[in-house]
Amino acid sequence: MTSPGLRPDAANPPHSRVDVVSVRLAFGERRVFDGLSCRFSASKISVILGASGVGKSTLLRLMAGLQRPDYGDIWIGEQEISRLSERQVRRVRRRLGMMFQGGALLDSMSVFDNVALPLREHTKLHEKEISERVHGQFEAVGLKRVDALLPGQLSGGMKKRVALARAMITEPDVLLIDEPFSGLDPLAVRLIEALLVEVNHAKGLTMILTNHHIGSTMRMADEVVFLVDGGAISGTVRELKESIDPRIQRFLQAAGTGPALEDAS
Amino acid sequence: MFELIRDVGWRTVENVHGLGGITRFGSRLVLETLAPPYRLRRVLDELYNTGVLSLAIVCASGTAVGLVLGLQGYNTLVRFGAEQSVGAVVGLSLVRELGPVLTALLVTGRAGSAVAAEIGAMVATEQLDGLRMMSVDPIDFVTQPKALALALAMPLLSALFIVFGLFGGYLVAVGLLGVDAGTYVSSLENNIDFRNDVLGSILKSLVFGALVGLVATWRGYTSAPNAAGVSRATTGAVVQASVATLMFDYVITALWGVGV
Amino acid sequence: MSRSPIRDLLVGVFVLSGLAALAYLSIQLGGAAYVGPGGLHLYANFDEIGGLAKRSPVVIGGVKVGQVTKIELSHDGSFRARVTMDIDRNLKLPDDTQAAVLTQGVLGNQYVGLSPGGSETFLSEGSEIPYTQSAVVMERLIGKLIQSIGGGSGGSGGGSGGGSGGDANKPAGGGKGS
Repeated sequence: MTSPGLRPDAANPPHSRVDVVSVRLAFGERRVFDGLSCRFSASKISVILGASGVGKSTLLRLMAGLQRPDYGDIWIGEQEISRLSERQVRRVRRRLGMMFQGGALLDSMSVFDNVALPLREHTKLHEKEISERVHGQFEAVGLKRVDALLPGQLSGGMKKRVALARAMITEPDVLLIDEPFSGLDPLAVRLIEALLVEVNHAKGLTMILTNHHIGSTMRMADEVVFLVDGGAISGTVRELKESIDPRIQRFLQAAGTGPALEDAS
Repeated sequence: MFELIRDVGWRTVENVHGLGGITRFGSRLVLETLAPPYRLRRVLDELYNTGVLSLAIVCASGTAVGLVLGLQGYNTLVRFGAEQSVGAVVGLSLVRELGPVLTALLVTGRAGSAVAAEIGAMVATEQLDGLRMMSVDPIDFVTQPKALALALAMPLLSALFIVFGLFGGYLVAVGLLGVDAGTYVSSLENNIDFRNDVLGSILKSLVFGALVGLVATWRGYTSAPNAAGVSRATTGAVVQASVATLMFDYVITALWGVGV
Repeated sequence: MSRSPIRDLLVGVFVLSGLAALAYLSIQLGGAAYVGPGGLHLYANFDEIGGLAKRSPVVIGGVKVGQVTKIELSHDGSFRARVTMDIDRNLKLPDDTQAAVLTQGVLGNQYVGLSPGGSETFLSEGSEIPYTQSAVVMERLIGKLIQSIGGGSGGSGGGSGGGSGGDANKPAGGGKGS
């Protein structure tokens, strides 16, 4: 499971950059990644695109340390994580935040307790300060008076906002987001999209999203990573649109005729 | 034919593998229980879920079993002219066997399955992964309080089951069948011994509680992350915990009897 | 969480009632009060103990004060039964106390009944109760009865070996232990 790997180069500020190097991963008979390499630049919004089942969420989980590759390196900044022990990975995760597709909020606890959890677990702040920070996060994501609600009582969009608040409260360097727009109506998609862009601009953190939604991808992505055939093709949105690679053209065309369209959606 | 042998062999390997898994999981649980943070708040919440919510079924069943024991005990003893000993029969049966074992089976069905389902659902909805991403160990945060609560609640519930059973026996024997109240009670008190009977009973229920806690949380933790997986985990937890309880019951009974 | 205080209260009630039940079982029923290594240990030698077994109660005037902890052959080579008992340590038993193996009812369990004497000196830890009365073996009684009534061949007094006291150590009583 070793490889020389790309050393993070100095041109790009290394701290919150994520590099995936020559990763191979198979689930039983099924090869998911076969020598996948890509870079997610610091402070940028990068979107992982691809057909269903191609491995978008898996790639995200690899970066979160929830999945180990069979071969290759995963660098978070200057720390390689694929060969660390679980406890060491837990320490690296302090710098990561993750928004799961369903929110993954603890449904036995109130919204307030959910967002306060990271602080209560890892800091020795007083309840008053915790309360201030939690409410600050609520404001940042546009939530009001949700403290005592249970996750089961929230709408899809609200769940995403709470999940974002919880992920952000520890001030991570890298934010991983799995399908932020799934299950949302077109208006909610726009709102969440705007929120994510705003957070990225305000905090300058690296954002990596998986997305089905071509429209929002085109609007918000600084970089796109297109997964296909066990590998990745990276580029800006413009490069993607102008690509002559037949696989990309096919994908864009299919997406263009589907309901997940640009602006009008 | 060859297929059959191969199948059996494969299943044996799988079971040994599973045994190893549950042992490692169990040792993690013990470690997390003994090491800080102790999460008293969550243990108390779980004590509510496992203990308080099982009270109704335990007390009702205890009374019912006591009623039956009183009736059956009397009917059998009266043939030998020994119906005055019905108190002892009801008491010894409850304290030594029926109290710990039946309580364990009831609690497995009610609280054990609930715990397995809760944890399984958390796996399916990525809540455990969410915890991992927040650098919180799910075994420490979620499973340990649940397992500990099950282990602690069991002896208490078992004692209540027994007391309600004794009362049920009293109702039938004294209220219905004409056994003298004083005789019932003195027969009880004279024939039940702390070291041999009550202490063994408490030990059994503690062991059963730990077993149920271990099996239920482990099945939930290792369930497949979908609805079918949760369902399998829940039923599997009940079956495995029940069988384990009954097997350990024999072992403890034999050892405890021999030792003392 | 606003529902906490009620839940906590219920948990407290649950735990307390559970502990109370445990206490009742242990102390009231099980007599945990006196049992334990701190009990007073006495022993007595009997010719015949019948169905007496380990954990059989030791009783004074109908009140349980201890239990039998060990039964073995006597140490002095006299082939009697040596019974060791664990007794409430708060009791002061005079050294002319008598120990008898009695039966509850007619067919019930056997136990050791103590009848304290009037002596001013007391039995200390590990001492022997000198005055003993052995168990009455039902078969021998019946055998004697049949002999005295029938007067015929007294040897085979029905059932299990009920000779007239000829056989010294027939383990009688069908080995009922508790």
